[in-house]
Amino acid sequence: MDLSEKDEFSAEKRNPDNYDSVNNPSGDWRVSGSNPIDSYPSENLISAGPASCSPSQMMDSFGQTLWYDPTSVQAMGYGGFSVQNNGGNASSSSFRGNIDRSLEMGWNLPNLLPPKGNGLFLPNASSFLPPSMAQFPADSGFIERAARFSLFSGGNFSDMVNQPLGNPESIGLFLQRGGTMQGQCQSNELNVCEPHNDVSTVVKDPTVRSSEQAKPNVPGSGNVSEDTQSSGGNGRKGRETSSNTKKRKRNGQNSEAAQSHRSQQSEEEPDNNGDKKLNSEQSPNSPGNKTNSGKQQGKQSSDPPKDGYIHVRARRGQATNSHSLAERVRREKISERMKFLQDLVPGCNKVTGKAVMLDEIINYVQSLQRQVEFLSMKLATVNPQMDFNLEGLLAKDALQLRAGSSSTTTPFPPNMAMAYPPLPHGFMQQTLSSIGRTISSPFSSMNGGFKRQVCISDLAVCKVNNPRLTL
Amino acid sequence: MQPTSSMNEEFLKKWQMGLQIFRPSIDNTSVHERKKAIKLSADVAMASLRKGTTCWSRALIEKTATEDNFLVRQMLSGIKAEALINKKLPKKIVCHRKIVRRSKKILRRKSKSASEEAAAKAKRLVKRRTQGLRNVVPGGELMSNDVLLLQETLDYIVSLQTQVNVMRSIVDAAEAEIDQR
Repeated sequence: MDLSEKDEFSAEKRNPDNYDSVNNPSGDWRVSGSNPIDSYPSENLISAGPASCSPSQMMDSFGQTLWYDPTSVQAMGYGGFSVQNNGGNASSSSFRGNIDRSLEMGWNLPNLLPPKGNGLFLPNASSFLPPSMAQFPADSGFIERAARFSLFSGGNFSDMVNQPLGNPESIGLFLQRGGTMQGQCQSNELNVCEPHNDVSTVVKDPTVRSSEQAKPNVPGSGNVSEDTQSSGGNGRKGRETSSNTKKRKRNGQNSEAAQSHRSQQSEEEPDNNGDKKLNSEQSPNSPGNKTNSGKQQGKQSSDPPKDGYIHVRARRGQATNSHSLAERVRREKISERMKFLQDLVPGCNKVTGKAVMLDEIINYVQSLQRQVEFLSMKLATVNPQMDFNLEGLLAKDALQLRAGSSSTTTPFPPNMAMAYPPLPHGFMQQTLSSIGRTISSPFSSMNGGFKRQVCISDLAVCKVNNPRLTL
Repeated sequence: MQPTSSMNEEFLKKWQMGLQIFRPSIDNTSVHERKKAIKLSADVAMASLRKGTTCWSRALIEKTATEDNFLVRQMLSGIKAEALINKKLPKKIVCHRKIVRRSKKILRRKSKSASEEAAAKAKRLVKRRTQGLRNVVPGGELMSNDVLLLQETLDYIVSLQTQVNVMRSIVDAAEAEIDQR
């Protein structure tokens, strides 16, 4: 029955969302479980779409895989997980099994995450788990964690691998934003992330989650599954916080890659030195753990609709209080936004400090608004008829009429004629075209300077033909 | 991120479309009327560029709609952005000042050390400035957190820069025409 369930689970894992499917029979992970730690670095753990699988099913299948070789697992500690860089088939399941085992080692997870509506969620967390998540039995949470763990990219594990075996590191909290793992994966030797964006985000999560929430807990399980799904979704978004990976590395291997920060997204930066925090894993009963796990599950990136969390990793030497972590995340986001604003607002490079920067920003916005008012007033006075018929400006190429051709009311190029609405006077179009010429040049180089290419002959023609024309 | 030329062109296009609507009622002899129409159409064009993705754009359209509903609707239909006017805004954040003040007083009594006071003062400054920013940015009061506020400010600044650039070029061109005469 175990195998059948597991196969069923594996089958579900092959989801259309592009996750690698977990086809492993349960026996695989057993074998892999005994592998030395060396096999870590190139692990291609891709949990088949936790998002697509129903957590209950995952949970069921996982339940069977637990409790294998507890002794061996213990000997290897965290390092006991053998991460194999398959196409994500066997390794994921095996990995999961390993994780489950280690997790099961008497860790008592306190009550997992607080309810979704917690203040831990970042304000821009767009989604929360559906209420049904909370109904999962305790096992599901465990399985979810394991699944997430399996999504863990090999790079992360390499960090773990480097640790002495007998020192299972508590991973602490991870801070992720959707697609974070994406970047990590790319830098990693693993191919985990490449085909599946979803996987990437989960990379960090599972380790932390699983470690900290080893205890199957009903409330936590919902959150865990939530995390799994969200992490999957996050990866899909492809956003990455390479900084996250950087900080996660214990050995300072900040190779992880592509720091493709989305400009509008502040990327959380987990700490490299989560080692200290990892220790908290070993004492799952510690309040820090509890809060951390609570916080973890509370925070997910909000990329896809399912996600709503951002996984934060506590820095070395810092409090693991959930509130402080949330605060740190928020502060980092704000500082990132302020950096962009500094680039935008002229003359703010030397300014440091939030208050002064905000002051400058307020002044700049107010000055821009006043400028708009002033310019609109000026336009109103300059052109009483308000006939700024400058659609021709859009067709820059067509506005290359030269003086020679404009000595007479030459027929305009077809595109220009079509661009203008029917005007009573053809020379009006001429004038406007000349205006367009002058305006189109600044558009290409909006630096305030603007060359006057007005053809005097055009204007003369216009003036002659239509003395009433007021410009 | 500075405004790109494509943004300028888009804005100009939409602005022109909006101005067309005012063309029939061009007999506004008052300069202020004209200016109001120009600014209104420019604002609506600027907000419609974002197609309702940002909070400030929706708030701006709401604001202009209350002033001159009919014209704004016409303009939006001209720009084919009618959906914007129906977009819902987040709820306004209401702060009961008395309660807030009382709680602040209580908090102030607690911390007396110098460093804490300095930090508290810095926080107060920042809070005051963010409140000022909320007043300036359209829809600022509706944004629940600072992160969102800063994001919206970023977008709003870029749009304002676009607007200013386009208007300035047109004014310069028009003035050049006048000078050439």
